[in-house]
Amino acid sequence: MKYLFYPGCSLKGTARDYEESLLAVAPLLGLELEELQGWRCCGSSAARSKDLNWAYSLSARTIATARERGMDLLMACPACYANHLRALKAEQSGDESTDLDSAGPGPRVKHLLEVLAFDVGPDEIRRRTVRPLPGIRAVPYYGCLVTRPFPLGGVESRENPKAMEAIVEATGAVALSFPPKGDCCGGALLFSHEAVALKLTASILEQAKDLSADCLVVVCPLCHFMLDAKQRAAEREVRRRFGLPVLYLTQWLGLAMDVDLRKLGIHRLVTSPAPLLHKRGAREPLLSVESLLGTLRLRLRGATSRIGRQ
Amino acid sequence: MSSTPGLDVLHWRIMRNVDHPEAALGPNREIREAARCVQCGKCSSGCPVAFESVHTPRQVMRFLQWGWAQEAATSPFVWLCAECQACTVRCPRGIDVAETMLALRRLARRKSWVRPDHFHEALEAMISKKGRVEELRLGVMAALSKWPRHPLEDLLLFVKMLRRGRLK
Repeated sequence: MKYLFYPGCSLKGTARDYEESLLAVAPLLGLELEELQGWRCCGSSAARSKDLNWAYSLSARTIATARERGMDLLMACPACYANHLRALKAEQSGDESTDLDSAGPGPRVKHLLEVLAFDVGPDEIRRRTVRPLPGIRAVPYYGCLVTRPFPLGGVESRENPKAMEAIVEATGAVALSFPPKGDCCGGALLFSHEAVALKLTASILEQAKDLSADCLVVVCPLCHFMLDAKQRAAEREVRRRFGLPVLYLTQWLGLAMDVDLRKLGIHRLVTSPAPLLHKRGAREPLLSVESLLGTLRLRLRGATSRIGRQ
Repeated sequence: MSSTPGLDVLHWRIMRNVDHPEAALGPNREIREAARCVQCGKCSSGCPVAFESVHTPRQVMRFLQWGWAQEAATSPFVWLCAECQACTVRCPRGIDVAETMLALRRLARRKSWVRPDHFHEALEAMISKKGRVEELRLGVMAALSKWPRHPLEDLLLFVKMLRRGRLK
């Protein structure tokens, strides 16, 4: 399966670990990715707040390139995916007075989760899993734009999607049923209304913590930034300690397929993944000072609880 | 309800708008859709940010039905909307509520009813000039402009992100 890969701004910046883990995992799943050369920003939400034609024109170039090459587009960022899909649908429905016959059938715009769940499939992932993660309680969190407003793959439920659960269970772990899996993390408001955004993030982390989850699995760079990097701020907001590692789905698959942790960019997580790696078993390599401290804290807690029992 | 003058006038307006949405609400398709709203409130009950706003999405839709386009477009809610699309997929009338909010933003910008905030201005400049979003610049801007500020927390996050190679 060959795709034209549109990385987007986040994957080249703060979500560098997403791109690293995707590129490390894709060949193992039989995905061939070719990066789109000279890509430009999809316009985020700002372009659509100013001028609709401008917003569509930003996506139109990417879609035209994909049509020329005759390849389907693969996006890892849900915002890029939703923007491009919207532009494609507007083009096809003739909103911009384009001639459908001259344009030809459009390329398909696919999100990474859609490709993993429907094109690769959980069975293939189960076959490729060399190091299952039994007993690890993972919370699949979708966020807004993967399943709304366009249902994933055209068939998935928009309010209660199950695609990620199937993938997580295929790696042998426990996929917890998480009611707010499609709730908003507030990422879109991070720069304009941070306090509001943190409340939404904290509510998601609280509910995940109440399910005694070991980690969250996400597919959106902005959700990841909010839940992982901003977790300390959310802890301050609700005065509760979470310490929940947040992994990209590709990083999670990499763990199950025993890919080198550095190639997966696990060392780039802000919230220490030490408790998760500890539960996964085997000695984890030294990733960072924070993860070492996290490991020491776990060992210490184990020791004190043993002393308490005696 | 005799103490509420004007209710019948508003009701008359709604009826007129339903019958002739084009005349009352203008040529914008997304805004005209508001005439079909039945005010069930599903958009507001599912809205993650309505608790922070003076208006709920249902109220914004009501303003439009009354023909108060300026009130609707200058409502703080329109700029608070996180575009999570929950209202859009839940609307029993099939109105694209999130898109209506964006259409109101565009209307407000076109008519110069509001000035866009610094965040949107910076983002637009980045997209049109560089073709890329520079997250670091946005982050620094947000850290300096938000209130209350958390300088230590933000500095710590900056150092952590820098050490992890996520700011390049």
